[in-house]
Amino acid sequence: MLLSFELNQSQVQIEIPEDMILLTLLREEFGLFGVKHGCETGECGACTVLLDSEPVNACVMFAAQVEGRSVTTIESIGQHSEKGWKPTQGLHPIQQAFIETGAIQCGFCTPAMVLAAKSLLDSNPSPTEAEVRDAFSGILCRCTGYVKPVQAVLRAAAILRGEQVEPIEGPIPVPDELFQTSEEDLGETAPVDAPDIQTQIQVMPQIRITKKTGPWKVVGQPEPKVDAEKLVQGKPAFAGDIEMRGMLFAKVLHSPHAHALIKKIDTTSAKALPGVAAVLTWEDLPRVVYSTAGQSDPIPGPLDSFSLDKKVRFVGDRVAFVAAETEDIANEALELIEVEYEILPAILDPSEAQEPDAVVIHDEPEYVDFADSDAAKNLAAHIHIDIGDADKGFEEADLVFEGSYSVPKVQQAHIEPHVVVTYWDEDDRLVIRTSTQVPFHVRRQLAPVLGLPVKKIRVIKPRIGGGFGGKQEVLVEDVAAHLSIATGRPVRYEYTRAEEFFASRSRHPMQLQMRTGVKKDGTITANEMVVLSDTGAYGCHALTVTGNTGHKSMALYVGDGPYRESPNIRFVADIVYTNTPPSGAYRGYGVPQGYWAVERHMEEIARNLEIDPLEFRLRNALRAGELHPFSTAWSEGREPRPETIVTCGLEDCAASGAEAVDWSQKFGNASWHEVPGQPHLARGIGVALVMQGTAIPYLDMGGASIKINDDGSFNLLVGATDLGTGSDTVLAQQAAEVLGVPLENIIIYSSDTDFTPFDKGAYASSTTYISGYAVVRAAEQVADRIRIRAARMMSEDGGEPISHIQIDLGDGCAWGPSGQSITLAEIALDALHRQDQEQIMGVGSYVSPVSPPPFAAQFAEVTVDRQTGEVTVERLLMAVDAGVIVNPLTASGQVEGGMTQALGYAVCEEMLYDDLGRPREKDFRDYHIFYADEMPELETIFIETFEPSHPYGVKAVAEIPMDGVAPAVGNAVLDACGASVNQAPVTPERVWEQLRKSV
Amino acid sequence: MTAFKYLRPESEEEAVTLLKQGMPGGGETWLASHRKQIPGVLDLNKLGLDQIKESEGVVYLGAAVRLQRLLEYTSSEALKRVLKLEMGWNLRNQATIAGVLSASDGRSPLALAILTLDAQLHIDPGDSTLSVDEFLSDREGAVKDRYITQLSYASPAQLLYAQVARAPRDRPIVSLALASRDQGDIQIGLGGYGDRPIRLHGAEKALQAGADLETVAEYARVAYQDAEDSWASGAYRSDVAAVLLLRMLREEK
Repeated sequence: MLLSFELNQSQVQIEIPEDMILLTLLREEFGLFGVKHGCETGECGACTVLLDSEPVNACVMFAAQVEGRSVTTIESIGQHSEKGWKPTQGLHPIQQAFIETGAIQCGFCTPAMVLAAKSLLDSNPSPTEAEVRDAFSGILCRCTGYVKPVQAVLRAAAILRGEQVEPIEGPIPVPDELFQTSEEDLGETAPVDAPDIQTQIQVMPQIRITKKTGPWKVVGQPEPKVDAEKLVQGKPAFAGDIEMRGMLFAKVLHSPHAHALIKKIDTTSAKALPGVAAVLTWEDLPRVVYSTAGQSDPIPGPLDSFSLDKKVRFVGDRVAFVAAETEDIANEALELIEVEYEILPAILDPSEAQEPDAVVIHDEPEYVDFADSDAAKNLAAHIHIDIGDADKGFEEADLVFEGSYSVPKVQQAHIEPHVVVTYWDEDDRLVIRTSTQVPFHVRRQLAPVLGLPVKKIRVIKPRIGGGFGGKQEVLVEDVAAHLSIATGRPVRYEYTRAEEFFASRSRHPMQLQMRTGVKKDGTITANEMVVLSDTGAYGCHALTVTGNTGHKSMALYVGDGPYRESPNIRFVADIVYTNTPPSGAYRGYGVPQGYWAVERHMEEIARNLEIDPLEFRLRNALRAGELHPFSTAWSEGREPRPETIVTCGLEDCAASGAEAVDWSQKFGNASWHEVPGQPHLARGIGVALVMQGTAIPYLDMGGASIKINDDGSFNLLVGATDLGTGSDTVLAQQAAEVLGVPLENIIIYSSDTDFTPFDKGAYASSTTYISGYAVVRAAEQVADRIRIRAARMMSEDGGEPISHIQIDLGDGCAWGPSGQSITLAEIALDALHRQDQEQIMGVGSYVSPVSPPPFAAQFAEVTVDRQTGEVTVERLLMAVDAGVIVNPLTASGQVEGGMTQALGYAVCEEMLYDDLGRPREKDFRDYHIFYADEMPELETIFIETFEPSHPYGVKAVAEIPMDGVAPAVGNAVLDACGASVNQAPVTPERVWEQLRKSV
Repeated sequence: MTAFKYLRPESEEEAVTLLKQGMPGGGETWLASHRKQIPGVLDLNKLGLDQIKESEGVVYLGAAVRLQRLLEYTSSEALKRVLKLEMGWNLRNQATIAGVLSASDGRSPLALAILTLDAQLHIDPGDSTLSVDEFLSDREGAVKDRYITQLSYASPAQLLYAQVARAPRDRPIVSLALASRDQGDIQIGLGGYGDRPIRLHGAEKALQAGADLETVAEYARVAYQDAEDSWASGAYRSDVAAVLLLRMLREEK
């Protein structure tokens, strides 16, 4: 049919198939890649466009519906301010506000939010916060927690009304009198004149600043994200935003059975379908066993996966690959593949996996064990750690508390699905452009699977639309690569949202048994956790995720007095195979599971002992100067080495958080718990203390290179993988600080295995710390070369000879001892063109001998309906010690977004399977993640400490926000109504059940 | 395989001819994600079905009225809330009242509200009318070769809505609506389970007969005593349904 409509203020006509979807039309026919694909059912809103000025979802709209109407995409909103000699209109004030407030993380939903905001402000110049949230009510963001996007719109509205807005600078200080730490360790605070904090005006978080950050000009500043301008304009920055001549579309046939042998597979009809370029089954591919877990060499887990196998192990497992000229043809071909299965008994309950007569899920002879894995027993990994003497500790206890806890399988739910494009370049090297957190691991791990040497593969990681661990997996790259090998053509493979749910990775569900010995005074004498962890059909991350469950959550409470000197801790875990979709890496990496059990358990003990839960926790918690108890026992399947905790702001986090939530006035105050006029409602307050890690010591390596350009700017190349967190920005800030230039003079690029130095990738909360240190090392080499040249240039100008050690860098210049200066541009021109020419360049890499833990106190306030069990989370506040905060905007964005994901873990996210192993959740309708218009109040407080193992004193911030929300909410529910729910999430029925038991 | 057709009939006659050929009419937002299972779609937007009128206390909604338009039109806070619970802003700008009703299941807040408002559906050709209750019992049969033109309901004195869910905008596990009229009539609907919400006719009659509120609430308990699925047990739904109804009756009083 011939379609005529207005597209971005221009009339267009185009011949289209009548069933074409608007999203397909805009992306594939017009190349408008700012319109994103996040789902196929309209729940995520990433595909938002304005239709006659109103936001609609292009994925659930026939292209034919826009006949005679006006469509606006992000491509017509605003322009970059610098486009050469031709003046531009600049960015729209909404876009500018998104950049300034830090409202952009991965940026995948940003075009949708900007368009929705524009539609709102065009018709309502003075919206309330509720109206802004309603404008975002059709758009899911998995990164931000919506706080900053809402602030951005309110700020833009004020600007568009012609009002003056406050500049975004300087953090809001935390009142100093809250703290117990010595003067020596505490920082100076900014002038105290804090405004009332409401979402409408709060942009900067509260920060207690250490003294040591004083002289820095870039580190510690709320710099705009370096990738914000392209993301806010919807530029084609993501892996799927590419057109290639002759590109094929890949699809995968997934198993309908939980456990079966493929007896026969006939692809004749599928191959005969016009437009089909290739159909591959297990019979076509070399049989190479590998692990899909993106980890360093050697992989700390069993090798138990094949690209395609003759056995399927879960509903959704791979059966065949198809490449075709269009997506529709590829889907049609899948239906023509005839498969004869021999259905095998399936294990869906992890507690049945090790029964003597249980079917063996991995009976393939190629299986390669790691450590204590035992495929014959369906055991992917086993861990047994004894620290001190737990049995003796239990004997010495006055009381022993036991509890059983469980956590569900949940999805990372990044809005950008897994997507990859593969093609052969002009040198017959295979290029893999992919949405991955681990480009270097993808290259190394796929090489044998594809029958190519590493040097024949190039992996490009463009911007990533969120990952949260889900893209720390070699999950889709091999599909497209095999098909490119088979056809010689470019191939694109992108998961549907349903595939994300049934064929990707998820958080390990676990059953956790806690046993804790305590003295009557509240001193812990022994602590034990026994875990049954379900890795699903494959053992990716099995050992390391569950190892971290113990390593982080069981390390926090060591006891007091002599027990603090020599804690008694036992951690035992079986990680078993089942015929369910594989578990894997998900932000927090096993630690949220552990803290659900530990912090719910600590709450029960404290209440039983009638000790304030916060006081009980702090009495037994790890402190600075103490040995990390697990550091001598376990290290991700490698040799453990002792590690002392140098910085620990936990007590100050607890104090500042308690003050901010008014803990002393609420906890134990019966009248506060009542809701006037609503006797069926009750308020509750809860807390959880948590710690994480910062990178993996002696293993995680980051690399960086820096070179100077003619104008005194610098190219910073890093292998680190910004998956939306802002890591490129904080790395560039560290480089800028060393080199004495504004952030805009650092051009950062990540990552491409051909050009950027190696980096292990984005996981384990490591980038700011590990990759940041590598950046600092590279920058220091460059700075040294600049100083040497500057000293010589100044000396040649006459006067006293100057040594390079007398040169300071700052404000884009090299400064001599008498105040004389030379710009970096002059130095660059001298180095590149004039005398003793050299490329001023540095390369740095770093592996840390320690993994300094960040600490946090997480508070939650809830209202519980005592009759229905319904829980409404009213407020979440996290006080975090993440070392020095390099960028308050990006760091607080991490906390807000992390708390929001963790909120889903607390109350509504879980993936269930029926008796045949078929998933219940296949879209965002059933798998509910929080929208902007249902969020509780979110607050972040940073309590800085200076971690001396890093030049700028940083620790990690990305994962710790996942750890405490669920137990804090569970504890708040207990506080509100007495319902002790040990199974996450805390659903209405689970609360109701507990309330009935207590009657 | 015949090619998919996207058709825009300009008259009722043309629409009926195409409906008889098996083409589904309206509901593009839902059909777009199910397009591989249908031969085509009839875009009914040229038939003037997007009007909202109110006359003598009766609200008339064209079948193609978008949810956002209704939200902006209605003065009922409960109906506004229901519309916001049903969909976010983007989808409210796209989805039509008849489309949402046709694709609804028991967990749809809007279907429950419409059912409880005792709405009538007007169907052409034939100018026939049937209740939403009847329509939900046999959706395909009700509109075979025909299409919904309008939905109407007597404006209530009060509409109340309550739901229990895992999160504020999650789909309800149990939901309840109550519409009261000036004449004292009360309609009660129960949702959160199965393929459609239900009317609690027994409770309505008991209320009219002067039964005490606790007795009336028991009708909700009985109605959902077997309402068990993977989202909730029958025991839970049954108990909560009674709680919500009792609360609502007290509020209405």
